[in-house]
Amino acid sequence: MGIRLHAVSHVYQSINQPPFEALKNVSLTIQATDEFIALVGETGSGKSTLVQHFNALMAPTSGEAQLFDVTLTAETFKDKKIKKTPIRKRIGLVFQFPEYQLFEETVLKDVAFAPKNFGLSEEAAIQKAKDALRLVGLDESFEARSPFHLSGGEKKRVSIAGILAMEPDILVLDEPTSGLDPKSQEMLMDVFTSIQNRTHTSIVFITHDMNWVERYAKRVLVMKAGSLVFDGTPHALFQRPELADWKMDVPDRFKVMQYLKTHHSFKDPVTTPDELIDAIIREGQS
Amino acid sequence: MSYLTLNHVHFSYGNTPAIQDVSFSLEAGEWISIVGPNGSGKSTLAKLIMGLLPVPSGTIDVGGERLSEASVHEIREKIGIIFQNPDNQFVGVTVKDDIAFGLENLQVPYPEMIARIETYAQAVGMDAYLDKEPAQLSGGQKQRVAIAGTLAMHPELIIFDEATSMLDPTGRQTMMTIMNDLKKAGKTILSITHDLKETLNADRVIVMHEGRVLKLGTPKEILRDEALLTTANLTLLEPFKMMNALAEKNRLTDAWEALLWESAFTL
Repeated sequence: MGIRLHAVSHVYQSINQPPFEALKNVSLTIQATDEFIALVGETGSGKSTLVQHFNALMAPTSGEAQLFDVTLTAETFKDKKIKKTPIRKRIGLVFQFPEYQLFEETVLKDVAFAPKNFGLSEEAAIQKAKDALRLVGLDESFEARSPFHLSGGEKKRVSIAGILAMEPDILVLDEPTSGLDPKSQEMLMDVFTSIQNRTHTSIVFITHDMNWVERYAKRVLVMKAGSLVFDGTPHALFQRPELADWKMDVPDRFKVMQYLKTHHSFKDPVTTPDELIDAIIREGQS
Repeated sequence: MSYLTLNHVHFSYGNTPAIQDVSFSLEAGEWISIVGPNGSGKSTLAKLIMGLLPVPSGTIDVGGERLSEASVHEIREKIGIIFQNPDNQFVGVTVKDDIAFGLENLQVPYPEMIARIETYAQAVGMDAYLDKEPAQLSGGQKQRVAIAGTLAMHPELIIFDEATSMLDPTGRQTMMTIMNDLKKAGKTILSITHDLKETLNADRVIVMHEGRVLKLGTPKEILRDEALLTTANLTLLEPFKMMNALAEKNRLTDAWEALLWESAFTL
């Protein structure tokens, strides 16, 4: 098992404002292999606070976070003997707009920075960086290029390779596709699938786009005002009557089908766009 | 009458051409939406119109005036622009201060300034938040404040540069409603986006690719054109995929076309 949160709450304390409970009694488990999880919820629902508990950037105010063999609570988090670095190597977190953090002269150096920092020799770090670049679909011709002269999608891939070079068991991404055009978003999501197919890395991604949730995620976590209100498959989520209350969008194809079904009575039951097209074609023939 | 006219505009960053021979006219009261992939030159175009980059070749006319070093300040006062990142454009300590900022620069008299702040905060539904600080607002609320600040300066042309791309679905929906209201109120709008849903309510759509205008047409002409949109790294919206699938089987009746078009507005 990779991550196990048990009754985790997190309260932000600040001088000028009343305490704010960003996480309320959250319990969940994330396996160390082959998970493909979408984390969704409106702005301010606690998604970013939650993922910072996944790799020991934040401590629970109450409850405990078991991250592989380390158990973190408000007390043990302060214990200097408990090292956080090994956790952060096994659970890699990619922030939103990671491309702003690229800084080396070449793509290869940038990707090799993290493994070198985690104690690998220059040579070993370079090899890990090359492997990671192949995983995100960037060939050798990119290695000597400046990261600053790449397209938005390529920059994102370089910064994700920087985390992959540490060979994490679990890869956590905060809105990985934001700012990209639709084709580049799709290519990046396909990169995550191919990484998982080859390395069995568990993937957790934050998104607002339900089209990606439907197409890629095997499991969805829904946050609402600091609470985890849903943990299940995308298919089960889109049937739930509370969707509007959770401020959840549905995939475009569901919206279109819904509209057509309320404005036209189909003879046969229709649940997918393909069935819908078939039904219209059949009606045209009769 | 055309409000904004670009005539054979070119621009390069060093040796890299960013805008190549772009010409189009935006009529007063019209909404044109510019779509294209990352790096297609959309945002460069906005910077050229605002006079933030020099126009090395070709001409830009705004409100009947030729954009030049001499006219740039006067022209900027006619244009309001809303950028992508809500955090980068909030300059005030409170919502009220933020809306007042541009008005102070224009030296609007105090009583009128107060009146305008109230009017436009109300127009974007932020009148209950006038004393709030940016940290207490969501991204969508900050974007609404940015719009109020822009509208308060009575711009003739409003440019939205990827203004919804960092917002959650609720924030995006609110912004779309505000843009539709502005259009109904007769404002001239140029919106830059790679979200095709945002082009549905525009009068015309420009598809950009590698610095060029690939096509200029109505949303109905553009949104079904799969070859065109694929070239521009965009993907067909679901209703138009269905329209094309039916057309391929010769089953796209006028009634189904109309119904699928309507369904796009639920996206």
